[in-house]
Amino acid sequence: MEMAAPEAELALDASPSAFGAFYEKALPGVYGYFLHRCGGSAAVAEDLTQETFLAAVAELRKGKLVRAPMAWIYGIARHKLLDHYRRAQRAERQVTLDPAAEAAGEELVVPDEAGARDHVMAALGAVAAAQRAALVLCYVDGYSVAEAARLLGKSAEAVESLLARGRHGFKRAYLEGRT
Amino acid sequence: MTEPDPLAVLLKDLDQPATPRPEFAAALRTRVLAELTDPAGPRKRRRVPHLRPAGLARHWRPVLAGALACAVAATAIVAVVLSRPAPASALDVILAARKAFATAPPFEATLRVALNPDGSNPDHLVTKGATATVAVSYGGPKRFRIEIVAEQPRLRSEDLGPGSYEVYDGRRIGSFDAGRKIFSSTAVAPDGFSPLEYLSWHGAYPDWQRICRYPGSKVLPDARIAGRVARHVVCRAYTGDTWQLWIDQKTGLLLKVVGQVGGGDLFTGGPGTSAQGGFQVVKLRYDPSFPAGTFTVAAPPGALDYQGRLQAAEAGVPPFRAVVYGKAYGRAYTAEMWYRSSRRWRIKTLAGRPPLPVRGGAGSFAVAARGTVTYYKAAENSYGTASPSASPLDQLVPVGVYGYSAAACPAVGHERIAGRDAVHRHCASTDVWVDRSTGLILRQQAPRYEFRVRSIDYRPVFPPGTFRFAAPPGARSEQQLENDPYYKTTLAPGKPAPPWQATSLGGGTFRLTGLRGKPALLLLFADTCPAGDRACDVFTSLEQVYKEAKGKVAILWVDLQGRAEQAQKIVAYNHLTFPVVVDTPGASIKAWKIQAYPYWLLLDSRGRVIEARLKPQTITQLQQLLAKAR
Repeated sequence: MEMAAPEAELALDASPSAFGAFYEKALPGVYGYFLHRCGGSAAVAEDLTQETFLAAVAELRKGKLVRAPMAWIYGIARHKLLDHYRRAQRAERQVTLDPAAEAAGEELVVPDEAGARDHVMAALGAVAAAQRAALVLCYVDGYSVAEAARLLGKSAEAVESLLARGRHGFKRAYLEGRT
Repeated sequence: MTEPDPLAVLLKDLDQPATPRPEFAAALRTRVLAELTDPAGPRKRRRVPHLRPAGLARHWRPVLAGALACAVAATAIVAVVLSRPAPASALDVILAARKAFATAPPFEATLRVALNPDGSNPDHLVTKGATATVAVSYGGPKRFRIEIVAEQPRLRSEDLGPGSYEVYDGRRIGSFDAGRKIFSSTAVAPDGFSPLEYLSWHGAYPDWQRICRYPGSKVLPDARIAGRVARHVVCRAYTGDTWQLWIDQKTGLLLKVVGQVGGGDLFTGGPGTSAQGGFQVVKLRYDPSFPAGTFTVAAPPGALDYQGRLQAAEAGVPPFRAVVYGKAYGRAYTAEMWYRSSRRWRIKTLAGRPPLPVRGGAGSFAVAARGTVTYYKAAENSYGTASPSASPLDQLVPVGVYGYSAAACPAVGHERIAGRDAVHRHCASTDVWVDRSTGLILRQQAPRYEFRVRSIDYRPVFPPGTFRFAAPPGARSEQQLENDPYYKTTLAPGKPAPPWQATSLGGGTFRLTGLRGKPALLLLFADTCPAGDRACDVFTSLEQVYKEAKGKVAILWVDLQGRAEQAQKIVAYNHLTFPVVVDTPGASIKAWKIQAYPYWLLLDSRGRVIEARLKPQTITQLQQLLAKAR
């Protein structure tokens, strides 16, 4: 797995000017990271973005010198996102899912028109949190199933299952959203 | 070739930046910047580094470490004339300069920074031959300014760039981003900021005294730099990295540095230099007549100054006591406030977790007095200090509302709130109810944000001690917690240390359980420890006790999230003979949850914890520790 490649890396410490510049550069990426992985919910994205930057500041105030700040902030963001998925998963445990339902018959087609990303985000937001986590880790972040399993605290088989169900749910939601 | 998975293609397309709401971005920026001024000063030990993402390109990792400081050291004028005959060692040169720095005279200096003279700068945005020019104005310990004069070629497209500066007037630090026309400032606690801290001999980090004492550091023949006679020293860090310093023989000014230098230290705001880069003073003047306003912390005309507007608004707020309710980002809270001025207030959490400066749930509180904000976290029964810029008033003054103005937010009605007459104003993205007589916000409603004053008394009688911080019985300070080697860890005296495994330097798998059978002393330490930091002084003492132990105690260094080549380099340069475990994934950190390094752990022959320690240890201290081995 590889995080977003940093554009220009300089060591980051608790200097307000350095962090201010870093914040301006990192904010759109971090916010977008959450927004697109949380079904397009700006509220959740803002919440997690705030948590991420405050956690970063807390570390810097303890004297940390960060060599690769962009990768570092994305590392914090990834932890926050996984925590969020876990919370959401707990909240959804009462919901009965229907993993046996058949996938819709249409094939997925990658569109190129404007607004397509909104449909993708909405469809992603429609699947269960655990499935969403598996989809994001494996298809967006590029983790292997084994790595995703470790991050989610599940077996590889469980992640495969989540992926299968997630693909199904995403496909159904995406196609419904397009019609 | 197989067809790409359409679902994967769709999802991968999500990996794009997005622009958040401006008010969210501005509010969060204000909050994080206010957090950053740490009145407690630099720590004496390094925190455990965050887990590095797998696959992170290695060339982003350090080379610079101590060079961070050397950049600014360039500007540090040392008043003392380095006396002849020439000092015998590089360390002597540094000691003389350090001693003299306190009397440094005011000066103006222009520095030319060579970012990538040899094309080896790993930053792909820095072309070979790129340079930056930086101007420093030093008016003494309470007056400082550093400004980007030029970049060739331009290093960034939008932010900072020529005309951007940082200024300090003894009370506040201000930063101006010329690219974005944004000015921000923050208050500084007494002694919370020293100009040239990172660039001078007196800074706690990096400490040239430590860097320049390592073997291989030496004094070379004097040279002429910028028309001046300069002492020339070469300093090598424990990592083997090298910096060359040229120091003005008459003034002690660091005239030139060759070595990797951090861009942030020079306020270029961009990348550091390559190992063959550095900087050179090209223009210098002592005791200059600084132009009026050189050290004024104020926004230039046309710049957005969010914090300045907040401060001006706070100055007109009458003393009050209030109970407020809020719900932000899905979290509700209730808090009680006592407010006399922007420098004297108290806030206590009644329920939930309010925004900063209070850092905990119910029972937590924060007090501002004498320029210091002290907070108490009830859940941890601990206390510490926060940024003096922290204020509970940000939510109570309309200017803190993004886009607020009388014109942009017309009055649409009136309402009684908390017994007060409130004017209801409707803004583009929020509704605000403002106290007709005091101008304070009594209520605000916006998507995902809610705030309401439940009760408020203006000009109350404050009980004695309201603005005095008193830690509850048994509370521990941040410092005490940080000095507790077991704080937040999974380790405890007498208990087995949780197992983990990693790779031995040279190959093979190291398992903690493999140490059983005899006592073991582990040093957990990261090879990224920045040169010149006191925390890095660990190997001499460890090597000594390793030789003395003669195999009776297993002794090893665990390189936290390290890499084999860097560990090997350190081993070779320092002639280390003890075993090394390279824990690249950080398995030891995960298993033990240690919070800082250097971390020393003595285990008995059955793998149980005898004692843990933080900070560098002397040979005697380690000998005393090993005497407890069994």
